[in-house]
Parts: sequence; structure tokens; C-alpha cells
Amino acid sequence: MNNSADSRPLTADPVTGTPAITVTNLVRDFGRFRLGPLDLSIPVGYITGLVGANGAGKTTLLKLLLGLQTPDAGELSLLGHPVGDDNVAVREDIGVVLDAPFVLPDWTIGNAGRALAPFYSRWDTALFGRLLNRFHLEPSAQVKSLSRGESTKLMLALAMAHQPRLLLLDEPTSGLDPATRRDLLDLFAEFMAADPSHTILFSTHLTSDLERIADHLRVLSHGRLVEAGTLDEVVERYAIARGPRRALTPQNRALIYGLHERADIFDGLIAAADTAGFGVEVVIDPATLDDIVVHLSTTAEDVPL
Amino acid sequence: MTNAIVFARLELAAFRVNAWPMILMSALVAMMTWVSSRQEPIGLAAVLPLLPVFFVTYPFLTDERGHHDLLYATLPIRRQTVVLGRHLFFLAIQLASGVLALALLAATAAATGRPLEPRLATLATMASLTAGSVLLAIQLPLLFWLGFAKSRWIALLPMLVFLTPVALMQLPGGRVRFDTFDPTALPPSLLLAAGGVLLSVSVVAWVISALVSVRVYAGRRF
Repeated sequence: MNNSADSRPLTADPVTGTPAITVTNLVRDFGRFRLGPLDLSIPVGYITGLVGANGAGKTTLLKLLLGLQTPDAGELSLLGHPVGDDNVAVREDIGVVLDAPFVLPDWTIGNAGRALAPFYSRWDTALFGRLLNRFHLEPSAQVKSLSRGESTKLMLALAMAHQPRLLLLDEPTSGLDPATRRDLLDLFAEFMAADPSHTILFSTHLTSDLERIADHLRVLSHGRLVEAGTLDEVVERYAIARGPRRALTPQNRALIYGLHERADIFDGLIAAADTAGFGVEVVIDPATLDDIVVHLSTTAEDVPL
Repeated sequence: MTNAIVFARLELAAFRVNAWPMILMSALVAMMTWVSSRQEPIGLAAVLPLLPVFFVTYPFLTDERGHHDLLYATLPIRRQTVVLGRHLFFLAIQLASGVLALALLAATAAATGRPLEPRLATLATMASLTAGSVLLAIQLPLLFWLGFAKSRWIALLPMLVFLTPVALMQLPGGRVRFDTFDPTALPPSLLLAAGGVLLSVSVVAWVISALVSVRVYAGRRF
């Protein structure tokens, strides 16, 4: 796999001139799983989807960005500040939603808001109240009584009430019904429209959500970055090849990422520039985002990033 | 320091969830002490200030139940603020339990008509607070280092420490009667020195606990 730096043009913060998130030569080795070496940037002013199969390293990367894990090598920075215990003030500008609520289940929603408010200089109690209203959440409801969707909404309200510039979201829409997902995606779109310096890093494996709101895409596979770029760039870069297995040769097999063989047929992802490497028996179709994510997430081959 | 106070308030908000079980347990311990000490008021002064050592695991349990380690990582506070805020919280409840012990001591002495020696009461409370501080200084760094799941057994440490002398006291000739101890026979300077030593040991225990906890919690991975 390719581990070179994300070399696509990136948008920098208009004030500081830096990307929202920068990861340089990052390595975190758990023994059974290794994240990195990883280099990537997340541009300011866009929604970037971070995708990959379960275990690809998405949550580990977010934990490293939050300082919950320390890297074995490399550097990470958030909004221009190196991640570390000396730069916690930058968290005033960051809202975080993970796949499970991280407030005490016995608290009420109101308790949770009151407990967190004193830590933030820009906490807006009225905004928190408006978000609860919008999400139809009762301040007197206990956190443990909330459904998965309601818990996610509460965490979003808590993450947004201090008016962050950067939202780090880990699987915020997984397990939610379509209407709730649409509500949340609308909210993300409103957040982005409110200020050009707003940025979202959105970890998910639901490509339909990415197609709807993401501007940029970063694909992780087995702890490595295997694709990066704008959504359109990434989609245009690939095609899907389908055909009989007898059409596979050692030469064209090498061009396929995530080759999937069953019975006497195959399908796989190829670079759009490599279509000439396949014979007339092979059908070449435009790749969907889903195709790209599925095949890149499962490929063991190097991807020419 | 302001952040540590704000964090201690967050601890209090989380503590309220477990408040009733803890209050009931405290009342039970007070009653058992009262009965087992044959209505000796001084027993309350010796036991009540130790209560926080029995509850030390609660905030760490709360951290795991509520995934608060994730919460702390999103708040604009340093890890050392979590440590200092939690130490501040335990110091506050330990002092509150000391004040409660003295108040109960005075009330029970008045209710039972038994004479109360203020110097003995103060010394017993201070000794108990010091023992509590030393135990907390062992428990807190361990809990910060390993978290609740891997170090919940540390809640048993005070039981071992306190039940051993109690068991020894049940041996023939092992019974200690507080009324055989006459603090008025001791020179005031000795009592003052004892108080000073106890206070110093407490302060040193808290400082060491905070320093070690800051160090181990800074290196913890989640």
C-alpha cells in the first residue's frame, strides 16, 4: 500500500494558513494492529469523510487526535496546534461525537449540559436549549433512557453548544433511522454554511451519507491511507471491472484492487487509466463511492495514491 | 487551579448519582461503630473520617460507566487537572467527614451525658484523617494508573488494614478501652506535637499522591 503524504491541494485556514488536521509520519503499533505510517491533511472549510472497514484504524486515529492514545512515532496537529496535554485550549474550538455517549447514564440531559458548560468560555446555554428543542430532547430525560439516535443527538448538542470550529464525528449516523440521519446531515450542512472556517471530519462506513454531504474523502485500509482527494476526484479515478474469471491474466490481476472472485465470475476495482488492460469479455463500469470504499478497504495491494 | 475547582464540581455532579448508597452505607458504618464501641462517642471520631477510603473507587467506576475518560479528552483541560480536581474533591469530602465526625461526637456526648475530652476527640479525628490520607495516597495513584476495572480490589485495602487490628483486639487481653487513656495526663506540648506530626503526614501523603497520580495518569493510554 502507498503511504505517501496526501499530496492533493488542500484548503488552509484563512487566518492561520494551516489545515484543520495534519498527521505526519504517524505510527501507533498495538502488536496485532498497526496504524501507519500515516500522513494526511484535512482541509479547513470542508466536510471530509474518513472511511474504511471495521478495524481500518478510524477510531484509533480519532483517539490519537484526542490524546487518548500516544503515537509511537510521528506528529498530529489540530487547528495548527500539536496534539498534546500542553495544547488543550484548542479543544474550545473542537466538538467531538463518538459512537457512544460519554456522559454518565444516570445524568439527565440538563445535568449533562450544566456539568460541561463551565469548562467552555463560549458555551451558549440558549443554543444548547435550541438544539435540544430541535432534536425533541427533554432536559429532564435521563441519558440511559435515550435511544441510540437520541444519544447521538444529545452528544451533538453538547458538542455544538460551545460553538466549535471543528467537529470530529465517529460513526455519528450508524445505526440511525433514515429520518434521523437526514436531520443530522442537514445540521452538519447548516454548521458548514454558518462559517467558512468550519470543518467536519466524519468517520463512517455509510457511503450514502458521504455522497450527500462530504467534499473530501480519506480511505483507510489496514491502518494505512489508501486514497485521498475530493469526492469527485476519487470517483473519477476508478472504474469497476466485471467479467468471467477466464479473462483474468497475471497481468490484469495485478491491476485490480480488492479482486472478488465467486463461481466463474469476478469483479474488482481498477484505475480508470487501466481499462485498456482488460479484454472485450470484461465489462468496465463507472465506480460508485460504495465500490471504491468496499474494494479499497479490502485490498491487500498497494494503491497508487 | 480554577479548572481543578471546576473539575471538582463535575465530580460532585457525578457523585450525586451515588450519593444515596454512600449516605446509607455511612449511616450503617456509624451505627455499627456506635454499637461495637459500646456507645463510646470517640469511636465515631475514629471511624467516620475514614469513610472516603471506602468510596475511593466510585469516581473511577463512574469514569468507566459513563466513558468519562473520553469526556475528559474532549474538554479543554489537561490530564493533571483531572488528577488535581479529583484530589481536591476527596480532600473536601474527607474534611467534611472529619467535621461531621466531630459534630456527631459532640451531639452523642451531649445526648448520652458522657463526658467528652475535646483534645482526645480532636486527636482521634486527626489520627483518623491522617490514616485516611495515607490510604488514599496509596489508592488514588493506583486507580489513576490502572483505572477501575483493573484495580477495583484496592477498595478492599482499608478493610484489611482496619479489620486486622479489630481482629487482634478480640484476642484475650487485646481489648483497648479508650476510657483508660487519659489525655489530660499528657503534657499539652506533646499533644500539640502529635497534632503537628499527623497534619504533616497528611499533607505529605496528599502531595505525594497528587504528584504520582499526575505522572501515571499522564502516561495512560485508553
